Amino acid sequence: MDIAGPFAPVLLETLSACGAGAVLLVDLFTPEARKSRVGAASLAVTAILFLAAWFGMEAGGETATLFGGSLVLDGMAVFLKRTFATAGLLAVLAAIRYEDRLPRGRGEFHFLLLSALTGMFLVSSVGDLMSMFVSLELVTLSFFILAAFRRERPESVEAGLKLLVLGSLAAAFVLFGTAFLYGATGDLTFAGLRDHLASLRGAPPSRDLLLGLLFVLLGLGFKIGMVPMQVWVPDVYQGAPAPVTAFLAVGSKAAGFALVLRLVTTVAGPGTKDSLQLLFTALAFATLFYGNLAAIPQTNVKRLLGYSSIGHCGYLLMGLAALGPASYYDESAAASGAAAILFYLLAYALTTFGAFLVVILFSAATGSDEMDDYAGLSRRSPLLAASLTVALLSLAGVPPLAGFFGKFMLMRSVALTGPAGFGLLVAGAVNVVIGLYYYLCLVKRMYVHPPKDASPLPVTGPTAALLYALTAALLILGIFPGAFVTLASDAARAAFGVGG
Amino acid sequence: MPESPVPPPDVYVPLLLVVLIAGGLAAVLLSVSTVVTKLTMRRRLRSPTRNTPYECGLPILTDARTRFSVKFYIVAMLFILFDIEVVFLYPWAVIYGRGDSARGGLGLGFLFLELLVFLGILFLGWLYVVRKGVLEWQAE
Repeated sequence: MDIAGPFAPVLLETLSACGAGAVLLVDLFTPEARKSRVGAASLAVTAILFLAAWFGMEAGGETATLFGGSLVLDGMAVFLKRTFATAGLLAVLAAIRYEDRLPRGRGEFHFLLLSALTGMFLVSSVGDLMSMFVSLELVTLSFFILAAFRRERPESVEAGLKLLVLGSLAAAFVLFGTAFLYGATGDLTFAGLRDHLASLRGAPPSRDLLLGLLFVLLGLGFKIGMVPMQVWVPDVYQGAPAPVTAFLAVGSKAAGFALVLRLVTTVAGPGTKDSLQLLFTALAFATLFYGNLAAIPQTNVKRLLGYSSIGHCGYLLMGLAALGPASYYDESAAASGAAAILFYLLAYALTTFGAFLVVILFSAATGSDEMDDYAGLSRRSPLLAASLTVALLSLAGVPPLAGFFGKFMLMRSVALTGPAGFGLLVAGAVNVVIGLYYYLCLVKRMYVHPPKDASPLPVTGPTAALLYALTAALLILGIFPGAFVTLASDAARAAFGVGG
Repeated sequence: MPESPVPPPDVYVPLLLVVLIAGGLAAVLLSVSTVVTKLTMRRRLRSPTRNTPYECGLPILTDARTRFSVKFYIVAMLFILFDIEVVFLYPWAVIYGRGDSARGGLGLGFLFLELLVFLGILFLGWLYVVRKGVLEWQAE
């Protein structure tokens, strides 16, 4: 169903911007004693966005453009918007369980979550380099403040400052690369970039263009936590408030990959695929091993999830490495890589929130994020321990959970590229085993080790329902992925121009 | 497509001229004023009064390098924000004033609606500032 007509490309953006303003108004005119209304308003906004994204937008419709091509709505944009709407709803649900610990500024907290969400919606349908920069900065600027929101805690301020300094550097990279791309092609739109490359008829593009592309990709690499731009991830994940960390893990990564995918689908062609495939294979190798090996010695759960998120960035980069070398180039392998990335991002969003919700509830009850304090959690709260276990197993990629199917699709797309992908396949498999080791270490603590403090941790009705729903979603996405895989493949095939 | 991504060097000649004129003007004015003062003034050139900054004729109270209340900066920032936002009204007014010929297929009503949206965002910002008590200077 299409409810917005010609304005479909800005439907969700308008709704969430208006919703953010409405939340701010509710906050301004609510007395201090009734501040829980702010969270309720924010929840209502994200619920509407969730419904509008999943049921109010046409997935397989014609590609629509608006504002002279600076916003594009195609299948990929719709799929990404649905992922972001889901992540936004979960972020607000998590924030409501956290906001009692905020000393001040509940309204601003929800406002900033919604403004980051608006930026993510914009990111998923940008059509030129300038609107890409602006919408990306809308996401990043909101997260600068959100990460430092608990300014009475030094770690939170540290997280915000690191994000600010390194994020500004990454933004400079993106702008610098944009300038080079404009200099090389004389056009800022992705369509113009594609036309320029097509006009070369297979000849390698100019050095300026490749340099610009490299700079933009490195700047985007900051958002997705890709080696060598990953240094900020563990510190920020550990220091930021937990709902922000979860939203940052999902939102920043998905926003970055949305743009990398847009850029790669634009520039991938006979003249560039060799360099792109080599680049992404090398980056996937480095990111996989860095994230997963560095996660092993961690003792803090949020930091562990930070390193594991670098590892997941490595898996996602495998989907881009599926572009294939020139001798074996196959558009359908590239499209299956993109489809795998889209599906993986959706699965990763649900899994990450499943894990972080338990982290939020646990630290609200005990005030600790240390892995040793999770000892004996299964006896203190079987529901929390079981939910976290399912989420961790899904992150590790154990069937029949959502994470398994995502990894399966990524590996399949690499396998489709032929002999050149075998090295990467082996690396991916080795890293699944490494990941399983450190995730199971935490599971072992919860189920085998005796608790230091045996007091039970009660979980109230709505929270328990949310945990059940997320666990069920992980199972459903893993056992019946068909409908979602079809959506993702159609979107990716359209983006790579592969028929049916 | 532009004709060439790298412009020829002679497009920078006007820039060079501006730099030369600016530097030359400063040099000429300074030397002329020094020479004229030397020739006409008989009194000593350096005195404490002469070295004070120009302050509208009022005697100087203290050094300017002291700490100010953060409220000054907040008001200054708000002023700049609202000031710059109002600047955007001028291009809108120019396009709106051209009437039917320049509206590019969008009705005047749509343009007016756009302005109302913009002013609505501005109004929300103003409401936020007032309700948060930023403009109240009396300590409670």
